[in-house]
Amino acid sequence: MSQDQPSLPDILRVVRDFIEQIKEDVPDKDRYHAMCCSYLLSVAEREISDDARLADKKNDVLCTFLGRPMVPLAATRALAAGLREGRFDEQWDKVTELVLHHVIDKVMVSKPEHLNAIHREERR
Amino acid sequence: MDATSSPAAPRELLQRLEGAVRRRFGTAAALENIEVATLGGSNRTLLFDLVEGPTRRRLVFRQETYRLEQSPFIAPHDQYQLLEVAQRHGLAIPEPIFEFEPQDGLDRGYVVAFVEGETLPRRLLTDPRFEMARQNFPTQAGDFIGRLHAISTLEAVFLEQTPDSLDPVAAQLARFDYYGEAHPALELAIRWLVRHPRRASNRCLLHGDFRTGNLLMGQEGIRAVLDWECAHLGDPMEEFGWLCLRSWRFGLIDKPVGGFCGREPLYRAYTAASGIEVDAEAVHWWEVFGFVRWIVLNIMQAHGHWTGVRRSPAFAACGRNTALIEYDLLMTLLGHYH
Repeated sequence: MSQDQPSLPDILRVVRDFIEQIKEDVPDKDRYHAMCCSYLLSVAEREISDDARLADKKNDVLCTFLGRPMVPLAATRALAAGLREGRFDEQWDKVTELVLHHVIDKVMVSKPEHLNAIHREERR
Repeated sequence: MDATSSPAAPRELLQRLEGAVRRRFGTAAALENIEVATLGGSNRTLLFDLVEGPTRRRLVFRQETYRLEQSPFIAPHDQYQLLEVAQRHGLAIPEPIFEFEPQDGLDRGYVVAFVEGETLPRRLLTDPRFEMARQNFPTQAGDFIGRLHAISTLEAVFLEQTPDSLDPVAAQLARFDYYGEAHPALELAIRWLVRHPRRASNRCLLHGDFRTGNLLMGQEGIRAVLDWECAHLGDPMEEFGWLCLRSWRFGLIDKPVGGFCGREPLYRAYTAASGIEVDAEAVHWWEVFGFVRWIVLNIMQAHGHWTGVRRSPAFAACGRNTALIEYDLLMTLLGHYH
C-alpha cells in the first residue's frame, strides 16, 4: 500500500461521498446503480480496515472445530462440505453457533446495521 | 419517437419488431413512443404504442437476451402459455398479445399489454396514496393465490419436468453447485431441510415469485401480477413461504406478508378462494427454503457480474447481499425471527 496521502480508505471514502452527493440528481435509470456503487465502496472501506489478527483468531476457532489447521478459504470449504455430508449432525447446536458467527463476521463487512441489536452489541 | 429512432434499442431489433407487429395487425400498424424499460439481466423489455388508425395501445415487448446454464427461469414459451392459462381463469395479469415466431427473427419472447401502476415496494408500503391498496391487499392477494392454486395442474402439464416441479431442494443444490462457492449457512439450511422432510398434501400451479416488487398496483390494489419466470408445480405452502420471507418486508418486519399485513387475513382469503387450509409449520419450512433460494439467486446475479457476462454495480452488490440473507435465514432457523 502506498505511503503517500490520501490513504486507500480515504480514497474510497471521498468517491463514496461524491456519489452520495450526486445520486439524487442522476437520471432515474442510473440512481439505483449509483446507490449500489456507494454501498460497494462502503463494503470495501470496511473490508480493508478488518483486523487481520482478529481474522486469524477466528480461523483458529474454526480449525479447532474441524480438527486440523487450514487457511481461511479451505476451512470454510471444509465446513461447508462437512455440513453437506452430515458429518456435524451430532453437533448441530455447536455447528449452528459456529456458522452464525461466521455469517455475523460477513455482515459486519457487508452491512453492520443489518444485525440484530444482540449481535451489534456483542461486536462493539 | 418512431420505430427506428429509439436511442437505446438497436435499429435492427426495432425493424424486426415492427415487422412482427405488421404481420399480425396489418401493414398500416405503426410503433410509437418506444421506451427501454430494462436492458440487462436475462431479458430486454421495451414499451411501445401500437398505433392502428385512430386507436393506440401501449404494449410491452419482452425478449430473452441471455440463457443461463442451470437457469432458475422457465422458457418464454412456457411463460406465455401460463399467461394464457391465467387469463382464461380471469386472474389479474398483463394480457398476452402475441408470442414471437421464427419468421419474426426476434428469438424467444412475447408481447403483452401494458398495465399502468406502481411496483416500487417503498412507495406501495408507505405512500399515503396507497393506503386503500394496503387495506385491500390481504383479501386481494389471498384471493389471487387461492384462485391460481385452484387451477388444475393438468392445464400446466408443460411445467411437470421443470426442476423446481420435480425436486425443489435438488434444483437449488444443482444451481448452487454450478457456481462453485462455499456458503456454510446455506449448507446448514439445506441439511435442516433434508433432515426435516415434508410431504405436501396438495400439488398446485405456483406463481413461484409472488412478492412485493412483482405486483403492479394502483391506489385500489393489485392490478396485475408480473414475472411468471419461476412458475412451477408444487406444494401450495411454498407460495406463502416465499411471500412472507423477511427480505420482502422492506423494513416493515412486523408485517410478514410482504410488508403489507399480518398472515391471518391473507390465509383466510386464500382458504375461501381455494378450499385449502394453510399449514403454518409447512410455511415455516418453505420460508427456510425461500432463504436458500434467495441466496442462490443472489449468487447467480453476482456470478454474472464477476464472470464478465453482464457486469453491473447492482449485480456486484448481490454478491455481498448474500451475507444479509444468510443472517436472516439463521435467525429464522433459530427462532429469533418470525
